[in-house]
Order: sequence, then C-alpha cells, then structure tokens
Amino acid sequence: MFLKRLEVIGFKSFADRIGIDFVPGVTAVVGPNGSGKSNVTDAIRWVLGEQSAKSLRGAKMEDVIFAGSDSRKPLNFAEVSLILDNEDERLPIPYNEVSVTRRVYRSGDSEYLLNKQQCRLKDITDLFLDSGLGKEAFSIISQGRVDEILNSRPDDRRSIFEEAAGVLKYKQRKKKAEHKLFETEDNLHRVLDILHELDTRIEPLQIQASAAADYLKMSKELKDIDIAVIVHDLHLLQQSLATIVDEKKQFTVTEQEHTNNMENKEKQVATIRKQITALDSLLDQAQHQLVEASSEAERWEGRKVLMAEKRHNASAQLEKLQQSLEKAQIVEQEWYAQQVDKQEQLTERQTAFQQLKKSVKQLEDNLNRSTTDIENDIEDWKNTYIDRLNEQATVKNEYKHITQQLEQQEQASFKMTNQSSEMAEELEQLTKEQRAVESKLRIVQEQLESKLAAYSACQLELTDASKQFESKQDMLFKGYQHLQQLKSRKETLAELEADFSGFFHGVKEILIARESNKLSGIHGAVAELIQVSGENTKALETALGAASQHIVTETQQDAQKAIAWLKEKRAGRATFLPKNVMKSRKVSLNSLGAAASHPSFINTADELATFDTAFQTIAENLLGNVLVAKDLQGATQIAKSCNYRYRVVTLDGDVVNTGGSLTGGSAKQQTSLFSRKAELEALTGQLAQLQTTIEQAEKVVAEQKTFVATQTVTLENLRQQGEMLRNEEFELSGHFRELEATTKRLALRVTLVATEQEDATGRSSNLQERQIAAKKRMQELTAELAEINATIEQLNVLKVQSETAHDALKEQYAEKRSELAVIQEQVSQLKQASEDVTVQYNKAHSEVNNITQEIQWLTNDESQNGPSDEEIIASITSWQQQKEELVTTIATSKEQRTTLQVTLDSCEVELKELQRVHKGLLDGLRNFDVKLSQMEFGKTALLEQLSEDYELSFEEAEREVNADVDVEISRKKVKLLKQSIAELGPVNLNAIEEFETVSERHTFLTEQRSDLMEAKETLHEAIREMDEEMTARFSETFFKIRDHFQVVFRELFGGGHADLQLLEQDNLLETGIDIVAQPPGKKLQNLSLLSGGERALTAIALLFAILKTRPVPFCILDEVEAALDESNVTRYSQYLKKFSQESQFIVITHRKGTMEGADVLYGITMQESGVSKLVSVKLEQEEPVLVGQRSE
Amino acid sequence: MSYEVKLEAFEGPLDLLLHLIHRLEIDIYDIPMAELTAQYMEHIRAMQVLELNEASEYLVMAASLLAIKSKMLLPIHEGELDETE
Repeated sequence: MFLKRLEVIGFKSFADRIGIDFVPGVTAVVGPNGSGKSNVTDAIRWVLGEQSAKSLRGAKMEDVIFAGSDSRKPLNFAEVSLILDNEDERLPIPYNEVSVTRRVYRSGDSEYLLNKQQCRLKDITDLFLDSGLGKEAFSIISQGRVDEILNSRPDDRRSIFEEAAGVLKYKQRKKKAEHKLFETEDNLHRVLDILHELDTRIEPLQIQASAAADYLKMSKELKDIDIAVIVHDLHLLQQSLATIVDEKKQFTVTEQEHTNNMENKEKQVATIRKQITALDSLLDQAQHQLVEASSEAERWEGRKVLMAEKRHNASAQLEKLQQSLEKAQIVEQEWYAQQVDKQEQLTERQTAFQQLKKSVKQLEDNLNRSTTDIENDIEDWKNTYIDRLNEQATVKNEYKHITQQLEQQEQASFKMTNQSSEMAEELEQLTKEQRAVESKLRIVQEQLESKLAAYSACQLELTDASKQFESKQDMLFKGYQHLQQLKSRKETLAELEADFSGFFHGVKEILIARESNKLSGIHGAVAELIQVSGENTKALETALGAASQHIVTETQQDAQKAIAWLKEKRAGRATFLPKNVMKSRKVSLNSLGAAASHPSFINTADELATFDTAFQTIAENLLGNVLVAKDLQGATQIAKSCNYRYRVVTLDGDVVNTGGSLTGGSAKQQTSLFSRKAELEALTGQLAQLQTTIEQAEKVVAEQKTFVATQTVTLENLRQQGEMLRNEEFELSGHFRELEATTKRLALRVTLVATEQEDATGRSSNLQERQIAAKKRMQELTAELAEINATIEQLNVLKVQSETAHDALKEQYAEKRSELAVIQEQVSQLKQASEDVTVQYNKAHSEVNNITQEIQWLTNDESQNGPSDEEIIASITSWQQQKEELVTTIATSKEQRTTLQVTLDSCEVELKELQRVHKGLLDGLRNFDVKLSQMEFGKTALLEQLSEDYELSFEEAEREVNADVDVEISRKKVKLLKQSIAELGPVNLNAIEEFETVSERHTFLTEQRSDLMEAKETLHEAIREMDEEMTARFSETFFKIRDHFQVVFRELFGGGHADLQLLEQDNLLETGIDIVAQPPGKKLQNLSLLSGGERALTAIALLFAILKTRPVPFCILDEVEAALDESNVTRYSQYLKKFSQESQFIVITHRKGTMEGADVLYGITMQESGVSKLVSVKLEQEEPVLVGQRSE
Repeated sequence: MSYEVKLEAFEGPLDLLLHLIHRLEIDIYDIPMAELTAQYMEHIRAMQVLELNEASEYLVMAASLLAIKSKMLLPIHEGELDETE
C-alpha cells in the first residue's frame, strides 16, 4: 500500500484545487519559508482523521477553510481527498484503490467519504488503525518531534516510545479514565456524605416509624377491637333493647293487668265500703223499725188483752146472763123436773143407797195402793231434760264458733294460696337467674381453667424458654469466652509470631516484597531452597536451626537494601545470605577422615540435603561444616576428634557445637514455625466458624429473649386476665351464693307456707268434722229433747191418770159415802124439796123472762165498738212477724257487715300490697324507660362513635368484624392498647412513609454506590491488566527501537555508538529514558552534552529507528533535517534514499541536499499573498522513468 | 467490530449507550455498572491479543459512565449546571 494522490481545495492556503501525485520512493515538496508547504502535511493529517484543530494550528475546525486574501473571498468549504493504492489489500476493504475524502463547511457541517460514499470518522480511523496510519503512528514526523526528543527530560521522553509502542493513546485514555474514576470516587465520597446524613436520619426515623407502626398496628387493633366491641355492644344493646322492649311490653301488660287488678280491688274496696255503709244504714233503719214494731206489737197485745177483757166481760156478762137465763130456765125446768123427779128419785135413791154402801166398802180397799213412782220417774226425766238442754246450748255455741273459724281459715287459705303462687313464681325466677349465673360462673370457671392451663402452659414454656435462653446464653457466653480465648490465642500467637518471629516476619516481608518486585536480588529463604527428607530430617533441621529462615540474596547491597527496607517499614528482622559474600565451608579431609572412621558417623550435613547447584555455596556454607552422627556419645567423640572445630548433630537432634557446647533434650512440644502457622490458620478457621456459630447463636438467643419477653408479657397478660376472671368468678360466685341463699330462704318460706297451708287444710278438715259432728249432735239433742219432753208429758198424763184414778177412787169412795149420805138426805129432802121446787119454779120462770131481755140489749152494744178479734190477731201476727223478720234482718246484716269488714280489711291489705307492687311496677316501667333511654343514648353514642371515629355504619362495621369476640378480653385489650399507645408518647405517623422514603433512598444510594464501587474496582483491575500488556509492549518496542537505534546511529554517523538507557528498569511504566551517544572519535556522553548537530542527527536516528520498529506504508518528514549541517543532511538524505526502498517518503524541505535525494519534487509558491500554488519539478528525466518502472 | 454490551435495559454498542445516556434517552440508573464492567472485563479477557486502544476506549467510556452515574446521584447546585458534560 502506498499513497497515490492528494487533492486539496479550500484547505488553508490552497484556495484553488491542487493535486499531488506521489511516487513509491521519495517525493519532495519544496518551497521557501512561509510558502504554505507544511499545509500539505496538515492536509494529509486532517484527512486521516485528525480531530484536534490545535494540531492543525487552528482555534476551531472551520479555521482550515480558506479564509480569503486581499484579492479573494473566503471559501465556504474545504475538502481533501487522499487516494491510496490497495493492491496488496493491506487496508481491510476489497478495493485496489481507496479514496478517502473529508469535507467541512463553514456552517460547521462535515462529511467523510470512502470511495465517494458517506461514512463516519470512526470508519476511517478503524480502516487505518491496523495499517499503521493512525493518528498514533509515526507516519508524520515534524520538527517538533526532533525537539521533543532533544529537549525532553528523561521522564517525558518516554512518550515517543509509548507512541511507537502503540500505548500512548492507551496511556492517555488510562489517565483520562483514571481521572474519571477519581471523579467517581469523589462523587462516591459525596454520596457517602449523603448516606451519612441519611444514616443519621434512618435510625431515629426507624424508631419513629416503628413506634408509628406500633401505633398504627395498635390503633388498627384497637380500632378493630373497638369496632368489634362496639358492634358487640351494639348487638347487646339491640338485644337488650329488644329484650327490654319486650320486657316493657310484658311489663306494661303486667302493669296494665295489675292496674286493672288494683282498680278492681279499689272498686271492690269501694264497693265493700258502700255495702258496709248501706248495711249500716239498713241496720239503723231496721233498728228503728224493730223498736217501732216491738212497741206496736206490745201495743196491739195490750189492745188484744183489753178487747179480750172487754169482750170477755161482755161475753161473761152475756154468758152470765145466758147462764142466768139458762140457769133460770134450768131452775125452772129443774123445779119442774124435780117435782117429777123427786118422786122417782126417792124411790130410786132408796135402792141405790143399799148398792152404794157395798161399793163404798170395795173402794176403800183400792185406795191404799200408791201414785209416787210415777212422780219419781217424771222428776228423773225432767232432770235429764235440763242436762240435754245445757248440752244443746254448748253445742250450738261450738257450732257457731267453728263456722267462724272455718271462714277465717278459708280467707287465710286463699291468701296463702296467692302468696304461694307468687313465691313459686319468684322462686322460678330466682332459679332461672341462679341457673344463668351458674352458667356464667361455669363459663368463667372454664375460662379460668383454660386461662390457668394456658398460664401453666405459658409458664412451662417460659420456664423452658428461660432455661433454654439461659442455657443458650450460657453457651453463648461460653462461646464468647471461647471466642475470646481463640482470639486472644490467635492474637498472642500472631503477636508472638510477629514478635518472636519478628525475624520470620521480616522474612515474610522480604519474600512478599520479592513477589511484588519491591526488592531486587532476593532468591528466597533457605527452607525454600534446601530440602531435607527421611530419617535425617530432624538432624538437618537441628543443624539448620533458625538458618532455615535465612534469606539468600544475590548481593550484599541487596541485603543491606532489604535491611534498610525492613527498618524503614518497621517490618521485622531477617538474616540475609548474600551469594556474592557467602563462601563454602567444608570439613577438612583429615577431620572428615577421622570422623568417618567412627561407627556413629553418618555423613556431612550438606551431603544429606538437596539443593539447586546455584545455591551450592550457600548450602555448603550452612551445612558443609556440620557432621551428622547417630548418637550423642558418638557425636561427642567425633567432635573431640576434630578438636571441636565442627558441629556434630545427632539423628535425635542433639548437637555438639563448635567449641564443645552441647545442646539436647526432648522438646516438650514440637511446635515448629510451620505448625504454629498451621495452628494460627486453624485458629483463624475456628474463629470464623465460631463467629458464625456465635452469630447464629446470638440470633437464636435474641429470638429466645424476644420469645421470653413475649412470653413474659403473655404470662402477665394471662395472669391479669386470670385475675380478672377470678374476680369475675368471685363476684359471680358471690352472686350465685346470694341467689342460692335467697332461693333457699324463699324455698323455706314456700315450704313454710305450704306447711301452713297443709296445717290449715288439716285444721279446716278438723273444723269441718267438728262442725258436722256438732250439727249432728245438735240434731240428736233436739230429737232427744223432744223425746224426753214427750216421755215427760206421757208420764205426766200417766201421773195425772194415776192421781185421777186414786182420787177417783177416793172421790168415788167419798162420793159413794157421801152419796150414800146424800141419798139418805136426798130422800129426806126430796120429800121436802118437792115442795120447794114448785115455789122455786115459779120464781125461775119469771127470772128467765128478765134475763132474756138484758141479753138482747148487751148483744147489740158489743159488735159496734173496737177492732175485731181477727184484726187484732192479724195486726199482732203481722207485727210479731215483722219483728221477727227485723231481728233476723239485723242479725243477718250484722253478720254480713262483719264479713264485709273482714273482707274489707283483707282487701285493704291486698290493695296496699297491690299499690306497693304497682309502685314497683311504675318504678320498673320508669326504669325501663330510663334504661331504654340510656340504651338509646348509648346506642346513638356508639353509632356516632362508629361514624365519627371510624366512618362506618353499623352494617358496614358488622361486615368487617369477627363475630366471635370475647368482649371482656377485648375490653382489657382496649385498655392495654390505649395504655400502650399512651406509652408511645408523641407519634409521628409520617415517619413510616418518611422512613420508607429515606430507607429507599438510602438503599438506592447504597446499592448504586456498591454497583459503582464494584464497577470501579473492575475497571481498576482492567487497568492493571492493561498496564501489564502495556508494559510488555513498551518493553518489547523499546528494545527493538534500541537495537535499530544502535544500527541507524552508526549508519547516519558513519560509526560511533549510541544507546537508550532506562532510568528505572523495574518501573517500566514510568521510567525515564536517557539517550547516550558516542560519535566517532568521541567518548560516550549524555545527549545533552553533544553538539547541536550531533544531537539532532541522533534524534533523527532515533526516529528512523522507531520507523523501522513500527513500519508505516508511507512517512511524511516535515523539515526534520533543519538543524543539520550540509554534511549531515547528505548523510540523512542518503539514508532516506536507502530507507525509501522499504517505505514511501514524502519530505517537506528547503534543504538542497534533501532535494537532491528526492525522486519527485513539487514546488509550493505563494506568489499571490495568502494563496499557495503548486509547481511540479522533475529533477531528472531518468529518475521519473525509474519511478515509472517501479510503479510497474 | 465494536464492543457490545448485553444488559437488561440495553443491548448494543457501548459508545451508543454512552451517546444515548448523554441524550437522556436511557436512564442511567437502569444500567448496572458492575454488570457492565464485568462484561467489559470478560470481553477484554476474551481478546486473543489485548487491543489496548480499543479496550482503553471502552475503559474511558465505562469510566465516563461511572462518573456520570455517580454524579447523577448527587444534587445539582447552582453554578454546576454548566459543568455537566
């Protein structure tokens, strides 16, 4: 690949289009200073992708556009095209010829074209990247590069080599990346600041948020429980309301009935009072009537008697008169009959006298018999009669009394029946209540048992948990102790390792420094370089002793440096064995021979060890003069045979030291450095494991502690709940006992009333029996009395009859005696009387006539005066009857009144009771009203509470709430929750959200920071890896350049010597580079001490060396030879010509010598101010031909 | 061939990602830097020969992304707005 043509228009001073055809050899562009010939270089640089306007000596990219001149307007665009031959397909595109165009407009727009097709800058840079034509390449070399080489300090000079090695851009980017990474680190520091601020907020916020969460949780729970309790209470209220409404209804009904009853009773009382009043009035009236009737009756009785008297007198008089009449008539007739009769009688009388005298004698005999018996019987019966009468009176009284008692009994029984029914009802009520309380009590007792069980279980759990917690805590403490032991032992071991084996520590430090190239000339520790094995191990270990950790260095200076380094770093101590100082030590042949003859002798120590031949001296120095023997005694003898000039060690590890000292014994423990190290590592592992275990145990203990705390709280809650239940049980039990006592008392009273009732019933039965008995007795007595009366009457009759008979007999006797006498007399008299009779007859007849006339007169007078007997009898009967009726009425009325009074009293008592009960009922109703009102109020309050506090309707709340709610526990929970909420103090509800926000941000920043930190570390690692690659490339490139430089220098100078020196060979990344040269005939000197020309030429040599190292298809040399004298220019030109056989060169020059070496020349002139023109110059006819041939 | 990343929020060339982030078409918080750099590291290690230029180019991009992202974590103060890239 080589350049074929360059076309420029509008670029800098090339206002007009120019074209330059390059040849594969050397193409020269010549012209005086200020002609614009360097613009050719700029053009090529530009089209190849240069982005830095500064590199093109401009402020901004548009400055490359032709800016106009005195006679020309500025152009609107600049365009450069570069055409390359690609037959060898060095460029990775399938074309023989490649055209690259770049265009920029004054407007700022720009274009890139590849083979006349638009493309990106990157496409172009990528195209040339591997061809060595990139911006990093040395295809363009200007005067500045020479100066750069000449004037740079050694540190700065390396950039040329870096560029040559292709690492300059990486280095620059690395620097930029590192700058970005530093920026990132700074930003992350600031992020740390912010995180720090957030940290200071997070914990308080977490606390607040936790409190707020607790608050919310408790509030929610409180709300739920509260709502549940409210709903429950509302339910209860509704039920209670319904119940009470029902009860009120029933109560109202009851009260209505009761009121009716009471009113009825009141009416009854009023009625009874009226009845009593009426009875009293009636009684009064009856009393008056009775008095009147009695008086009237008596009056009529008097009238009756009077009339009777009158009539009697009249009758008597009449009768008398009649009698007189009749008498007179009789007398009249008697005188008449007597007259007749007298006669007859006289006869008869005389006969009768004789008969009668016989009869009289008989009668006189009968009279001596008695009449007394009958009288005695009569007397007895009369006495009996009196007795019976007394008994009858008694029985009557008894009957009356019994009846009275029966009535009272009946009333009492009725009263007791009511009482009994009431008490039964009350008893039933109490029983129900008692059962309800018992039920509650049982529930509470069950709850209490359950709580006790829960308490026991919880206590057991707590005890177990506490034991476990204590056990785990003890284990944790033991773990802590163990951890401390391990830590302490590890620290002690580490410290002791550092302390006691500060020596070894130093050794380690040295070895580490060797690994990181901080120290040079360090080969390693003796233990690393010398191996022992088998049965000789102990002997050789003993022989080496601490020397096993000595460090082998290359030189003494290395050792001193290492020691200084150790001192500076305070990194411990170490012993160094510089190879350049240490010498072999051997046992003299004589001694060896003498020792060898001893049967205990084994060999010299160095013969028993294995080592690299490079360290043979070291090994022999350490072990060469050590003899190994089997036992101590032999060792002693061997040592003595050698005059104690060599150490002798035994297989057991005993030592006979030079000089004769003996070392031996049995080490208590074979804790070698390695074993201690192993123990340390083991301890470290144990520590890590133990710490993990401890962390887990801490978690467990923390959990257990939390559990114990929770359980403790639970236990306390259970205890409190249990206590409340116990109090409730206590109260219910008391209530139950109260009810029980009341029930017992009531039952007792019921029993008493029942017993009384039974007694009363029994007594009533007795009374009824007695009543019946009394009545029967009365009847019996009545009958008996009648019978006795009859008997007495009969006996009286019999007596009379008896008396009569006796008298009759006596009379009959007397009469007969008298009759006898009388008959005797009669006879006498009859005789005289007859005579008188006639006289008397006549008198009588006249009397009769007088009386008959008086009678007639009296009869007429009686019938006209006063009531008749019938009237009187009727009146008397009527009044007597009326009197009896009145008496009966009065008695009945009085009895009725008494009954009524008793009833009234009873009713009044009942009424009083009813009134009392009524008052109670009214109170009850009022209580119902009050309760209802309170309940309504409470319900409203609860509903309002639901509405205001929780914005819920009852239905909604019902839906939300769990029905199964233990209200008491809930209320306690409410209390506890409120208490807990109060204990929280001021609660910041915003804290939760704020904590989340801050936490989120904290997490975000933390994660992002971690992400960035990790990425940063990754990039740092990448940089490290790339540094390694860069170092390798730099090193490789440097030495190549160095080699070429040495060759090129000699060619350019025609002899002499030059070299490149690295100032820090172990820091290739940053080392400076010195250039030393020895022109022919002079001594080797630093570049700075050479003459100007020599220095310039040396720089050019370096550049050429770089070009040889990193070949480029073409190279533009822009006034490189400016500082050279003519002779050197010639040398430069000749070398160039020779070099051009490998590469294409375009030289920008004004030196004649250089022109002479060119194949093609182009002239640049600025005849017109500010505008460059091209003039083609062919130096030789043949040479163009030659060039042409080459092109073929 | 250009280095491509495969992330949840983006899949394509790294320079395009940088470009889009600059143009605020991709939220840089969606780009996990650790994963990005891990892929980049993997890519570097996978190279037969370490292309320092290419790798360093991506290094600068990645570092730029880190710087951008880390900067975005920070508040913007007055007078800093014009300093943003």
